[in-house]
Amino acid sequence: MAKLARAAKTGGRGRSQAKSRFAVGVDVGGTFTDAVIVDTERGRIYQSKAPTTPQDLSQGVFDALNLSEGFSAETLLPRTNKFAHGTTQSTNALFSRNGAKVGLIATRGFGDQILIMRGGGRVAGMSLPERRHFAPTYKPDPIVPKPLIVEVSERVDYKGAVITPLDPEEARRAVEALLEKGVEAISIALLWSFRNPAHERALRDIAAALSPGTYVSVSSELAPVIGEYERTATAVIDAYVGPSTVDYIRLLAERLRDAGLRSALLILQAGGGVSRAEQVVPVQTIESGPAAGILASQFLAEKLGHRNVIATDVGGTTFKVGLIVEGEWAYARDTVVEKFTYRAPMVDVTSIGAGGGSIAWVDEGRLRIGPQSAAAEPGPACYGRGGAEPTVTDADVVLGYIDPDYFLGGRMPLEGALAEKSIRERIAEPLFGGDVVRAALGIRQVVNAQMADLLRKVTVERGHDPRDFVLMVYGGAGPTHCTLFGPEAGVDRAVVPFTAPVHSAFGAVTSDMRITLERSDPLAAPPEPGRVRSLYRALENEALERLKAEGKRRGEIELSRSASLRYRRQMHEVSVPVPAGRLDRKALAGTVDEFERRYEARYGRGAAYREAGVEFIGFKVEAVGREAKPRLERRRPKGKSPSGALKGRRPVCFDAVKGHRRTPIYEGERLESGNLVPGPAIIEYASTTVVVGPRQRAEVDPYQNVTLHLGGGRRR
Amino acid sequence: MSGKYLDPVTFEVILHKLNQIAEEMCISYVNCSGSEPLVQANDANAGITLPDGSMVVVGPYVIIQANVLPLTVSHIMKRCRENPGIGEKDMFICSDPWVGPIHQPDITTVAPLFYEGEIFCWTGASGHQSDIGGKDPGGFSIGVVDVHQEGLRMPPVKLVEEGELRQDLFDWIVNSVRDPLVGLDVKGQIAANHVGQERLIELIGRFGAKAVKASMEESIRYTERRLRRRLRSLPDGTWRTRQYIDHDGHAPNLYKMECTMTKRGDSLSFDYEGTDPQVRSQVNCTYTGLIAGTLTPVYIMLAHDIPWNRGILNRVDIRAPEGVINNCTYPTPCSMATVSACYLTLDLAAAAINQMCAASPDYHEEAMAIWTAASVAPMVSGTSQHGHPFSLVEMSHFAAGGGALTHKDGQDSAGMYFTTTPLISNIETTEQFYPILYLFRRNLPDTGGAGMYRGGCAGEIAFIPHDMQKEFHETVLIGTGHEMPNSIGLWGGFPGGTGRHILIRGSDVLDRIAKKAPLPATLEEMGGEQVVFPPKAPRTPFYPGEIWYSNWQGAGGYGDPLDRDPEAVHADLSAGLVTRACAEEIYGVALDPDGRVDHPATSALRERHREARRARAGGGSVRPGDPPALAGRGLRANEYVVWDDANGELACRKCGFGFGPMDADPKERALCEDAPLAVGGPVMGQFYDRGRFVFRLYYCPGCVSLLECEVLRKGDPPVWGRLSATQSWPGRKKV
Repeated sequence: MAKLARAAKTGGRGRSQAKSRFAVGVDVGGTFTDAVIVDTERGRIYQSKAPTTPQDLSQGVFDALNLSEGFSAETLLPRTNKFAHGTTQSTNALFSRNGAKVGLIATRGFGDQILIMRGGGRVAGMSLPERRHFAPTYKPDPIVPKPLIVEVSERVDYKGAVITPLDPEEARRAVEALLEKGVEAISIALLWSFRNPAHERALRDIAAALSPGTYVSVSSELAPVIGEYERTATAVIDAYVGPSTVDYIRLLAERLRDAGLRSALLILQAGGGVSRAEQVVPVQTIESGPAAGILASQFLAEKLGHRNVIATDVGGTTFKVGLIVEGEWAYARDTVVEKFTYRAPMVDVTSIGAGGGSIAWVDEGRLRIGPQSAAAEPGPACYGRGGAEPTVTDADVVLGYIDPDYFLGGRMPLEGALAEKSIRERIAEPLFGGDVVRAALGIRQVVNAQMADLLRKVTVERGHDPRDFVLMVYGGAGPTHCTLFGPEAGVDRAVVPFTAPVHSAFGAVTSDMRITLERSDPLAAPPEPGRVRSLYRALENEALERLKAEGKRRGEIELSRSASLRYRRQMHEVSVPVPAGRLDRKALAGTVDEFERRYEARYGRGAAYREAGVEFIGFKVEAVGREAKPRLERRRPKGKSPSGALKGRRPVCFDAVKGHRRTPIYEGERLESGNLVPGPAIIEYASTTVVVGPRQRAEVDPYQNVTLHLGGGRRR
Repeated sequence: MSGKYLDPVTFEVILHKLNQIAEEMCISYVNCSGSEPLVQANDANAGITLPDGSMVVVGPYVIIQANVLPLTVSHIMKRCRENPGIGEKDMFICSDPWVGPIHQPDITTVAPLFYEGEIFCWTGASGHQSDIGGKDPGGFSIGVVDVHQEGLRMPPVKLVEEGELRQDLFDWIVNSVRDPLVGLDVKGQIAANHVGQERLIELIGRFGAKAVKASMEESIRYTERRLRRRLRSLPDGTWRTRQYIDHDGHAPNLYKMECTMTKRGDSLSFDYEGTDPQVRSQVNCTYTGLIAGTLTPVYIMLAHDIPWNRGILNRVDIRAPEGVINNCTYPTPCSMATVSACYLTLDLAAAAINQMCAASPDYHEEAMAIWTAASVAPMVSGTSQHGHPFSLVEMSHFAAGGGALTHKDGQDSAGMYFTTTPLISNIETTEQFYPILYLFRRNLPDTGGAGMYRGGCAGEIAFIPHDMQKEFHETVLIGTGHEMPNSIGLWGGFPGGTGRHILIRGSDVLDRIAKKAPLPATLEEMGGEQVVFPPKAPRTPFYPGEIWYSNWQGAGGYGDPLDRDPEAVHADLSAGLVTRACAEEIYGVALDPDGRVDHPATSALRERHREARRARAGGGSVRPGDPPALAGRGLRANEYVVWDDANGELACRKCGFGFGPMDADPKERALCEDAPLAVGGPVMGQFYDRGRFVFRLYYCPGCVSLLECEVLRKGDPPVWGRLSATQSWPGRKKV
């Protein structure tokens, strides 16, 4: 974040006009549109933010580019050789329910599966406390209402054999019926279509012939995996967000081209890769923002030599956590958005409702935080907008971590007295004998425990030990809290990246092209090697073709295989890597051994039960087309003393016994490479505040990241 | 907050972690299991208890499954200490309904956690197996007369000794059942305990054993304090509820169950006096079923924001005479507990709690009608297309209807009431494993209990044998509530539709397959002969060309159907959840030629319905009084009856008709009509009608609003409920 100020000074003026040397990442968020411009020659990075423009999101994209001092869209775009973009267009369409009018064609007798939602739609993706309160739980409004679900007589069985052929005449009538009702998009999802897609394809062709302009989503193309509800939901959601996403991307591509962009517009997908605008699968762009944060974390972690990273994004209302293990992030097992479970590759990011706006309350002698949040309006009590409930941010103000006069770099003054009053009346008096400081420390401790719990849950549930990880902390409230939740989870080091304010945009610019293809084909182990070979051959050929269409050469493409295995009749599968090269019986037997090894590592010695029989369920190929990575400028160390950045001292409280003590305050933007800041200290940036606790220290690295040494690792 | 090891913050953090551990145990168990009810419907749970078995944490899945852990642990502590001894890294497995699980198909494995040589706490996991041996496959034996015919009944036995699985015992269990994959499940229970114990050891390492133990004990006291406070804020009164069981596996004998719930101040009791004596057939449950069934709605309705632990049971008094069908004695059969006595115990307690909540201004919005009130499932067994023996418990009914609330409709396919994390299988997943082919699975119209707010609909399924290895499969049927509904409505809401099991013989489905013609996709299209099967039926061969059809019960509605927003009825019509006939006959909604609501005609039709009610109920002489100004002055007794402070009596909220003193049941002065059950809809016991039930409707003599409806066996007295005569609880709000 030091870069932001520096960029303002040096600017982009007077650079060579002829040479394309910039890589640009733009991420549209709910409030801000962030831009990152990488000068690939000098390794310099420029950051900017503009308000998001909900009416026409592409306007915000241009605003952000124009706000980068020294640049304008017109001067920048002709010299840009990579433009990667993350958009909330599809996410917004789904969350605010203003997508297309969608029709669904389903197998006769089974059109209701999308409405029944496997009986779990009422609480899908909800936390345990939410699930326990039955009265206010409800299923989402259907995306396709019943009158727009048309059933066709056709049936395929589990082997892919046709029991009832599709009658072309009935198929045509089904499409016509939907068109007559004015649908803007058609989703097609038939039973067992992943085994035999002929009927879905026939319907697709009929729709294309009858109404060439109508957007069509086909379940076997989007998600050729077992499970009709999730596959149908994938097709339905794609059809719902598809038309507006495609229109938006087309419009943006046009405007960028008109402004001089010569390279392809790359769109970031939730699966962690970019795709050329014309190849984008709309359903896969939903929730691409959190994925981008993980990509940026991965990139920086690699630069810093951290193999295992817990990436955390703490905002006003949510706390998001993703993992990088041995340098790689993982896909989510279930993709649940708005209570719909669907199948699309999505970077595994877990979130809970905890953040700066979480409300503290007293419950029969118990101090509780959240899940209610004051959100942005009215916001925490200290915002002075009428919020009476004490929040986590109010505790941060009372304890002196946040300077009320320097919140968001002074752009938004806070009222410390209101923070103090709300905590005193609502928490301190009922629970802490009126001691406001102890109450505020208690609030921080409880919310940090929740955050630490999520860190542990996310790591431990996936079979990892949090003590083997480094934290990457971004989002407005993260650096203020990792001083506690890091050690609480057993993590020793936290990195506040220099790109923290625009982390998702940075993630877009660092991303690769990525195609993930999966097929279900349940086979008892040991499977016939020829069948497995042909499955992988088909998947790999398709992936290669698609990446070649994206402009990648074979040498730039990395392929990897995996399979999901389980014991017979289980529903939970364990993903196991499958070796490259020719697969014979021995190689597949090795895959089964690896499955049992992983299974026992997770569930304890003796849990394996070979007698039950092992099954291969899914076969997956991941193809990555590597993109050139930005080179980052390294700064020479300037000595350990941070005194050049010291801006003053103020009372800050870390401990109830010692109370508020005068603590040094540093201006983050003025810290130099090599500086060491001993705790207790506060480092203030324009967009966040880093808290360095007692017996902790902060270190500035050559990239201007701040690494906090938390003293939490291996303590237990 | 008490105890020197605990401050509010540490307590909150540890409590949070204990819940998280229980959920992680559940996830591990289900991930490792191969049992259809578990992997497809989360019919399992996990928990943590104190050394004496006191519940500390209940996991997020089927609540009943965790509620049984205390009894198993306390029995082991009493019985096994000397011989075979309780040692570190031991685990005990149990399937005996008198000392643990509700019924034998639920197996429980519990493990002591030792700290410094002492038992610190117990972890446990429990789940529904695909088979347990016995007379019939699938865990439910039909037509038996004692528990020994129902399969494996293990008292707590030491399955894991000093960390080693006892292979002899493991083999014995696998030998005793038809489906060898039960072995995978047993290993899953061990895995769940491993995971739970590892996490607890970490927790103790982090906070110290004293703080963790103090948190466990304090959480129970905390829960008790919170529940007492909640009870004090609810109205005092006595509510009686009744349920019937329509078949016992031998014959269509009827059984009655009754519950009287009394709430005074901060005490709550459930007394099942009036319930029929146990029988040598398939309706009973043991004491564990009684406790687990009663506690489930207490957790959900009164404690959603309070930790679920022993503190609840400490405040709730549960009694049933020994030897009645929900407190049966050895050797009465009880494998059907979860489908009959235990489930209906849950429904009885839930109905009483809902009436109490609905009477309270503060909790009115929490109250709901009964959700799909019992299981209805076909079970198919034989040899799978992959050559393995199988027994499939078809669990689609777990996409149960949700009961209507006092202010909104119940949810269609909301999930079973007794689990916080419901789920059913994809059609494709079931067909992949098992040799059947579904013809349909869909919402079934007119099965959501009618009302001002409609109950959630039931669903229907049909399937045929497919890709068979043998000449035929075998089917066993389980269910309750086919002759009369169990999903009772609240304050004028109709009950949800009843269940059905139908075997279609002689259909042309094989011809259609041979000709590649479309398969039948409705019950009507199937042709052939419809053989109606009882809710519980023993092994029946299931041949190619035959079709099994089942539908489960819908959920209860809330309020008078004539008070439903006509546009909501119209929305149900276009969503296919209500038919036009019911829209007119039950809801009194008239449509114009374009299919839209004709509001003037609807008003007229509803007026005619009301006049007809009055004529049938014989109350022609009573006319509505002037509508009184009641708003803000009364205590709510139910949707239509409020306590009018000014006149000192209960009065109709719509027309002011007086119903007498506060402790009167408004039914005493209501107009009353006995109608056939079929008035409630087209799936209301018609296929099973033996003329044994009436649908009793109570109307306000003033405005003819439907106050309440009851399902009564002919000759049985009505059930009543009443508020206490003096309502002066602290914090009482006005309506």
